[in-house]
Amino acid sequence: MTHESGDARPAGSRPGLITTRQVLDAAGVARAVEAIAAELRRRRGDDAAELALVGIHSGGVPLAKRLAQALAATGWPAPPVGMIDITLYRDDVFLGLPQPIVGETELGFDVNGRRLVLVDDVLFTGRTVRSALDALIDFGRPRSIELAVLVDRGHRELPIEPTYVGCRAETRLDENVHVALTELGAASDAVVVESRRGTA
Amino acid sequence: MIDGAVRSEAEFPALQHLLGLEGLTRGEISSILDLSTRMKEIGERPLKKVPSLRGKTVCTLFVEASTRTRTSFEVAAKRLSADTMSLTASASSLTKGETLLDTAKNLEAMGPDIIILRHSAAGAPHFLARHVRAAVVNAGDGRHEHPTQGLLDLFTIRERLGRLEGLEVAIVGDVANSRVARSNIFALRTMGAKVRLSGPATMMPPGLEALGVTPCRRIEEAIDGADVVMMLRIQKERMGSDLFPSDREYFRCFGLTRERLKRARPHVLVMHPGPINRGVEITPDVADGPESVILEQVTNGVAVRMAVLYVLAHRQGRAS
Amino acid sequence: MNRLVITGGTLYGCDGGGERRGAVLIEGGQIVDIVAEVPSGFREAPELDAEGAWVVPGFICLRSHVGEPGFEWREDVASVSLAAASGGFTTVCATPDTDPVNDVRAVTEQIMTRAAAAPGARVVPVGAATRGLEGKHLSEIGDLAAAGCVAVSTGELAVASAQMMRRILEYCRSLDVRVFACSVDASMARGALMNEGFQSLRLGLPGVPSEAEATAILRDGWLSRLAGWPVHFQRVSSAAGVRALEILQREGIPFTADCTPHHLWFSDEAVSGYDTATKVLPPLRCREDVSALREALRAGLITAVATDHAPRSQLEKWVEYDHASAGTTGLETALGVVLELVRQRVLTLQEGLQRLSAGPARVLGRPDLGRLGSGARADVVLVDPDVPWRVDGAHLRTRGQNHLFEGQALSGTVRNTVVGGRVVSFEGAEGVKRAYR
Repeated sequence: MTHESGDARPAGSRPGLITTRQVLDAAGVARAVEAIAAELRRRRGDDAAELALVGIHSGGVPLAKRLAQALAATGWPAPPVGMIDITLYRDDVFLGLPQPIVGETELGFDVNGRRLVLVDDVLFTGRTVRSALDALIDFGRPRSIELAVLVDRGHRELPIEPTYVGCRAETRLDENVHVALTELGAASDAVVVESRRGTA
Repeated sequence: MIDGAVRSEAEFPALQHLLGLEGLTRGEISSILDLSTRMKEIGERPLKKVPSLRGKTVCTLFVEASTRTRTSFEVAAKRLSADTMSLTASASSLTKGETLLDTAKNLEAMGPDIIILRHSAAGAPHFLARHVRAAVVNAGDGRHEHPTQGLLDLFTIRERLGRLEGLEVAIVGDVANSRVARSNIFALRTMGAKVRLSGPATMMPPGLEALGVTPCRRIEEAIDGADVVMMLRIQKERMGSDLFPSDREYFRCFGLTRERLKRARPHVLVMHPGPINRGVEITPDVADGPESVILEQVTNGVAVRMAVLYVLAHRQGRAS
Repeated sequence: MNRLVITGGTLYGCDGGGERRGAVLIEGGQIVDIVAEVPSGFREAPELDAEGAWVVPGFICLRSHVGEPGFEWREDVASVSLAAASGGFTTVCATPDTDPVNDVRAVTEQIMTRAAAAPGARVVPVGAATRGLEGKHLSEIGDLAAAGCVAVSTGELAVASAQMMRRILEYCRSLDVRVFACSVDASMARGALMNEGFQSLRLGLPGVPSEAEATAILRDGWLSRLAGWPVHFQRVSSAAGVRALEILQREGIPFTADCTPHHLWFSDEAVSGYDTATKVLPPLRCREDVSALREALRAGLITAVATDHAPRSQLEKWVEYDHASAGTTGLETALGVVLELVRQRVLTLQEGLQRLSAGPARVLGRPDLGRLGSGARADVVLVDPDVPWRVDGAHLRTRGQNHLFEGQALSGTVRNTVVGGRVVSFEGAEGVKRAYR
């Protein structure tokens, strides 16, 4: 498990009862990142000033780095990439996470006046993003914050919408969206929906 | 459990209370130290506060005075956004003949999630933990343990030297009466460091070998090739008692001087839990020298205590 | 004519030793005879059915803290008397550390008066050898003995001054009064909370080494040779103490010694967790000490098990280990402990029962106690040997709330206790226990 997408993975799942369906393959992930880069560049009107990316631990961090590379590939200066861990900002940390391990927070730049893009792998309830916004604002006063996600799986519980979306996936509430990335030890990139009832 | 089974290197500690470092696994200690690294970063931010323990109440109950330790815990709690209240021996009713149990029950009625206890009696935190629902942190109990001091010492060593396994650590001073020594010995042994002790035999009880440490008759033997030299505080009130005749004599036999320190490794760290008796345990030039990490220990104390509070608050949340 | 017949049981502790069957005939507070067939004169006497039980001499505790006068919230003569009887004890020696200290006739007489009305076991006072147990001035030991003290005690620790100890022994020799001593060096015991050793090192509690016991036993032994009067060493707790007794024995210095059930059972490992129930004086020692004590008890170097019954209220134990009062109850668990030692083949059954009855009777110089036979006091216990039970403080009769043996599985219960020919009744005993709750 690599993603921190806001939903604790329910315990007790038995491998034999899980069925999966793939939403994106490796090429799909690459295309999605390129699409986000293109859209970002379009919306910014080619103005790269003060741009910085912030990946949310842990899935958002490699994606932010890829997005920076993708932007550089279009001829932009590669924006600085920071990472942020939101465990200490969560509103559900005392509700039963088995291992609330706190990841590293390292921005490496002053957020004041920046036009930030927050990057995460999966957008689900919106609570992770809410926590990340709180955390970021504790570091200073950015000029703006946008949100880029690889997958939007729906089921929002807060009024939070992404600025940039790699793909949208129809999911049931009890399903799990798993984003495999090579940087986090996966054999190849993929986005997979896991269903425990085997009726997907 | 001094050389207990090693589980994974970092496992989230299954602690209801932190009463001592004896019995913690290697994985649990590693996990607290890892967490402390994250907590230390928060202390370097412009806004040194996270909302993690918002709505939690942390109470410090200090039946034995220690402004430093109490302040360190309070800063730690506040950086995690916990509400804090504090009782000290003179302010609380313990001086009026109220028992610790009465005080604890009254405290409990105010609903603290974590109680931090400093007490002159060994085992007082264990007693408290049996009688309250809150998580109990031992902030020093008599001559028994001072677990957060031990953790901050380990954190400081690991941060500076990159590891604990295989290090040679010399602990010098009043080993028999030092809770700092005890916590360090338990945790350092669990983490695979080698510990040598030195001090006057009146402060080195027989049977120390059973703790997995090497007693040395002379301070030079303990320091020889050491990666870390940890000096213990001498209680001056013991001077002239049956333990040692004078601070002058103590310094001559067991004080840390630059000359003695030359026997250690070049990268040696000099540590002291504070407050220092300059010229008794240690010369001023060593205490303020490049090897000294004494002030870093203080900074790290806040980070380690944040980690401990976070772990315990998390367990409390799951238990309720 | 105050007759009683005990029939149907297996008898131990009869004159001549061994195990036998028969009826115990009791009249006027004494055992008249032990016979195969109940004679016609006793056919009308009340009968106590001992079928399936052991019939043994009543137990004698050489050291119990009775609490009266001065500590009635812990225990008093009436409550200790019932607690003792319920544990099979028929005679209990009361320590002089009362408030005021039992160092004058008036206090002894008060205890004697209360003891005369006691509902269960006989309570006999032990006087203080020195005024206020301070080890500085002799008490009126002759007066104390005349008023009913069966011995004098030097206190909880060894007398600090060797010269004072010598004078106590000399003075008692001239009056033919027995001297009980807990020989532990006071300067080393001061401030100690447990045994000094690996466990005290782990737990950070100040300890007293067993050498404090050995050195004091040797000193008092030599002083007793000088004074020409023996010491009865109480609550010997360590291997070092046992070695010291062996030296005295080799030197031909006469002495007797007892130890407690808890020192025969628990080691200082029980102190982990700082449970104040484990705080006793002398402290619980190491496993090797427990083994050495058991061996000394078997070999007869130690001839008596004395409970050192020290009841405490919850208030005195529900505090920090430093502040907790030392002591455990013991009268109701001693038999179970001794029978467990028998089960573990540390002692034979005869030896085990003997350490609770004939052994202590000899220390007191009382040939009429601790045996079943004509002319003996009719102090008899009926024991159901194989009944397993678990110690539960709520069901004990002592008023004390500090039970080191709480939760331990023991076997062997007391069916009836006969004190001076009278069967002890426990009716109304609950009221005695609750009076101070």
